Order: sequence, then C-alpha cells, then structure tokens
Amino acid sequence: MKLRFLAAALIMITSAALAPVHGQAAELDHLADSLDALISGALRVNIQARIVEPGQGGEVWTMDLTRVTIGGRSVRVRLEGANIIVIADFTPYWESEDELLLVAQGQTWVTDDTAGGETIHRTSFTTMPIRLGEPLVFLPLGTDLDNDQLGLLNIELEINVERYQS
Amino acid sequence: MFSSVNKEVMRRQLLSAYLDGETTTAEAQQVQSLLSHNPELQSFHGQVMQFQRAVQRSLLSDSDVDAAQERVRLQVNRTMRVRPLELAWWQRSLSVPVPFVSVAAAVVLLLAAVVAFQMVPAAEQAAVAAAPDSPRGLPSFALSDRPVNVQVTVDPSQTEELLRWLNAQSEAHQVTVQLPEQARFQFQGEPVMIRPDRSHPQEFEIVPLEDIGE
Repeated sequence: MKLRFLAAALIMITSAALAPVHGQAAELDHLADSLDALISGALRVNIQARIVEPGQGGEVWTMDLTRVTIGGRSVRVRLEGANIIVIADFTPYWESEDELLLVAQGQTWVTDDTAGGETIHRTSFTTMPIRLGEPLVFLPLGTDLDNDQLGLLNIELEINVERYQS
Repeated sequence: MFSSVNKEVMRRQLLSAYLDGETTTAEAQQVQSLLSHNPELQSFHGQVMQFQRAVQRSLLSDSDVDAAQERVRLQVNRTMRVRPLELAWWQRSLSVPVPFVSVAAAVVLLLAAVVAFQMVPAAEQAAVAAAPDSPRGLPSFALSDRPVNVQVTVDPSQTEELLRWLNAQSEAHQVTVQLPEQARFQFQGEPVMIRPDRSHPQEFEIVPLEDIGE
C-alpha cells in the first residue's frame, strides 16, 4: 500500500518538474518584450510649483518635482497651505510619436478670511495637445492681468512632459 | 537392598510391557505367574488397567474429530475478517523492489537539479537586463546601482493585469507639497492652463476652460 502511493507520488513529482520548463522560456521572452514596450512608452512629468507676486513678477518660493508615469496614468500634485488646498491631476496620453494630449483637472479650496472664513471651491477640467518638452502653466487661482493686486500671491504649476528614455 | 529395589523395578517394567502387548510368550507367562503370587503387583496391575480404560473412554473417534474440526473452522470464519479473493485494481498491492525505489528517487532528484540549473541562467539574464547600462534596462524595477537592491517579480501571464492595477492606484503617485505657512491666497480669476511665451513673460495665451461648478 505504501509502496503504491510512493510510486504514484514519484510519477507526479516527475511530471510536475517537467511541465513548466518548456513554457517558462517563452513566457520570459514575452515578459521582456512587454517590459521593453512599457519602458519605451514611459513618460517623465516635470512639475515646478512656485509662488509669485503678480505685480512684481518675482518668485518667492519654488519647488521642483518629477514623476514617472505611462500614458493614461495620472500624476497628482497636492498643495497644502494655511488657507488653501490645491489638487491637480495631470494625465498624458500618447497622440503620436512626439505629441501628447494632456488632460488636467484641478480642484482648489480657499478659505477667505475676509469673508468670514467661507471656503470657496473651484474646479476645472481641460484638455490640451502638447509636444514633448513643451511647458504648460496651470494657475489654480486664475490670473487677473487687468488688475494687478499688489501683495496678492499666486500659485503657478509649470508642467512639461518628456519621454522617460530620451 | 539395591537388588530388591532393582527387582521390583524390573517387575514393573515387565508388567508395563505385558500391558502394552510387547512381551514374548515366555515373559507373558512369567508375568502371569508373578501376578498370582504378588499382591502388590496385582494392585499395580489393577490401577494401570483402570487408567487405560479411562483413557480409552476419553479418546475421540474419527467422526468426533471431523465434527470438532468443522466447529473450529466455523468459529474461525466468524471471528476473523476474510479478504475477498477478487480485488479491484486500485486495491491490489504493488511490489516494488527497494533498488527500483532508489533509482526512481535518484531520477527525480536529477530532474530537479536540471530544472534548477536551467532556471539559473534565466535569472542571470533577468539580472543583466535589470542593469542600468543595458539597453533593456529597468531602472524602475531594479535599483542595482544603489545599496538597496529591490526586485519585483511579475508573473508574465499577468503583466496586463499589473498595468491595470498600477493605473488604478491613484493615491500611489500623489505628491503632497507644503506651501509656506505665512502665505495667504485668494482667487484672482478662474483656474486656467496656459502656454507661457518665454520671450514675453507678461503676455499669456489664454486657452478657454470648461469650468465645472463651484
């Protein structure tokens, strides 16, 4: 009885050992090709967040960050301040070899101290074709070119998208 | 004294032979003569005869033996489990000689070693592919140029599922930036995305937006 089971177990082990050998080589090649395609289509999103004074045009604060993503996968930047929260999502999509379609969604919450602490929320959604390396600037608080209010700070997010392997 | 004891022993032996029918004619006459003149020998003769008759009465006949054998066989069949003569093929025992088992085990170990050695070159190729200088480099997956070496193992059949999962992890790629505490902000207009003109930094190309509620 015991010998019968031992023989059956030996046969099963031998079969199991032989089965994946042949399939694994083909699967590894497929994985390598898939990862090559993944890397070749990867994108580097460079974001510079800065605080400027519109009247004087100078930067009072800046920060650079970079994220790697792939087409269709968004990069989210969250800015938190004393009376402000900005959440900006940037999603690049491949249009052609050197062109992208950038989808940007921004949400801004601002607590207005002059209005009794009321919180104002604004959201925006935009789609813009860009070239690789072309900069764009997202202004979550908008801009008032006609009426420069001295002393008011503004937030700018400059984005440019490059190929990850360049 | 020895001779009298010896004679008595000889007489008893002669009597036993007489009772067993193993004496000659002359010895039988001698025993009969002794029995007629020796009361002790007569008593002994009587005891032996009684014992023989008792033994003969207790002996079983041939028919009694056959009946007893049948009773024993029936009792044995009732108390013991009898294996059926016809066994299913999966119930039959397989006699495997020990040398065969040893050879089979050696073959299995050899196959396992072959498989392991085949997998080692594949692992080395993956490590080479993960090197940052390789044209097929995977810096995002293997940080071999840093002290910490991290490798992600992906089942080839689930690469597409992995990519879908990565896309779904919206929180994984969020970066939080803390603005200066003393900075206060107000809305100055509608949120806008523009292409800056570097030669005229004060001039902007305004691209209409779709404002979705407030």
